[in-house]
Amino acid sequence: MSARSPSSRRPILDMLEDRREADEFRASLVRLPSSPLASADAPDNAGLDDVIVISSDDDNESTAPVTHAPLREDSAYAKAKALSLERTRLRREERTRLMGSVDELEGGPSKFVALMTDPSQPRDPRTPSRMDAALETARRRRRSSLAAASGASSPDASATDSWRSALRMAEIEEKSARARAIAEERARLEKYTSREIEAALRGDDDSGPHADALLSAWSAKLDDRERNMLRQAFRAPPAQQLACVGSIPITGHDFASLGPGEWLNDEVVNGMVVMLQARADAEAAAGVGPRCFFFNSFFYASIYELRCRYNYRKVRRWTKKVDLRDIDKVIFPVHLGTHWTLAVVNLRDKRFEYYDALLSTNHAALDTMRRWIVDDFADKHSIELDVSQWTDYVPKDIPVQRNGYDCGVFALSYANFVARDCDLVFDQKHMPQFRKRIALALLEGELPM
Amino acid sequence: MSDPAPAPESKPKVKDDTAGATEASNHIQIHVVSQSGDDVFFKIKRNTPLSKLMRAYCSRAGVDISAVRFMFDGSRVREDMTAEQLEMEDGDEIDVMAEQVGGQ
Repeated sequence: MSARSPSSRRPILDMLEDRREADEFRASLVRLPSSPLASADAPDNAGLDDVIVISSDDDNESTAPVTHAPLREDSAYAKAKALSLERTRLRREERTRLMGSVDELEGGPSKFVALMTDPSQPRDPRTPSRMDAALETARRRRRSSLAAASGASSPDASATDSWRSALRMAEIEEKSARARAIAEERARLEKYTSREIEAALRGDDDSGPHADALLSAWSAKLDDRERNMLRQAFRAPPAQQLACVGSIPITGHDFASLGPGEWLNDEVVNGMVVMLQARADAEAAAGVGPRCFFFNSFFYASIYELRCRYNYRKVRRWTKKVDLRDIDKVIFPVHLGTHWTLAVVNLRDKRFEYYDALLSTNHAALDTMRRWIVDDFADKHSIELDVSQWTDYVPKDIPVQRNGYDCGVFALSYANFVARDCDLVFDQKHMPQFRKRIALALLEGELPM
Repeated sequence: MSDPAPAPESKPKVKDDTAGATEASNHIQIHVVSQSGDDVFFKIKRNTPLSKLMRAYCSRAGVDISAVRFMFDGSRVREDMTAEQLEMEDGDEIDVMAEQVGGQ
């Protein structure tokens, strides 16, 4: 481990399977107008020699202050949290409005009518004006009958009677029109709410467009500033600390594992876990999205993988600061020798989920989750949790890796989408961009979304 | 007479109150447990940065500090953290984990 020198990157790059992708990526790092390197020697074929030049250039670079790598520790978390909070505030407002109209419904017709006819209330643009029309017709009739009655105003008793009955008829008509309108509106809103409110309550307001938004944020093209930032970071010497996420230091060596074709290491994976936790906390505080609790990649190593034997004692204190009764999903990356996968204990839907970019089913992991949740509830809350009806969920129609190096990015992407109740709408072609976005997120201490 | 009186009076008082009590409770014993189960004891002051312990462990175990992660109750231990900050108690365990790499 101590023998990691800048030149150690060469053999790794030699191993690249996807040369085109690697060249593209390398080109994006090297060929920037501001790079003295690019202007000095910018051959058409950005070969491996370029990279070696970069490494040797490191020594000159290291003396210069690295502007993008302040030692943010908890500030990265705070920033991510604040951002997510702001982002989710809007969603919460929307939901509150939705809930409000349901409450009004539950309050009964009179309250509802007050809401619907109160001009001070902001009108839902989707509300049809049918009710207004019906009320208006009734009012018009009443006015006309009143006018007719008053026009024929005579001391005659029969005239007074007809005037009164006309008035009563108009009133009845108005009331029945109003009742009809309410019934119609109520039926319409009920249909609309049962679907949307439920979704809003669960935090997955229509997972289609939501997932698409997440995907486009994560696969957005880098702008010049971001590219420049990445280029600098990838040139950093292995020992240099580039960022600190939570209490995880991200060094040049860790960062290099995000390069094209490289295998992700635990610092990168766990750095992302910290940021996903921050986002989930912010969203849960705002009342949107599932309440998630993340373990880092050493959870599964401790509870099972290292000894190939279930050992609750090793992780007994890992949940000392969380009450799992308030959690919807416990999410953790699983490291299996040379492979990354993702495991989820879904307390809300009562199932154990496992996502593997190579589609294997890890019975040991599923069994471990099953035993752990029972043990932890017994230990922390003296609750005998019955999981006999809980199911194993190992979907085989998920996006899969088409190479021998992207499983870490896949595992993190599963976590990213599952933590938001989003469909897994990405695939292999998004991975190069996801790598860059993860790299940027670690540097900036902020997720794209 | 009035000269030496105030000095000795105030000095030992401070020492007496704190020294005896903190000397004992200020030091705690921490187990550092490797993945293979090896257990090394360290005595460290509650307010000493844990980098001392971490570096001592690494030199003893012959590993590079950048190649291992120190974990306490599931949280990463940073070098500048102290036992006090992490609310460690006498006899607590720190786990040492090796780097994890995966791709296929």
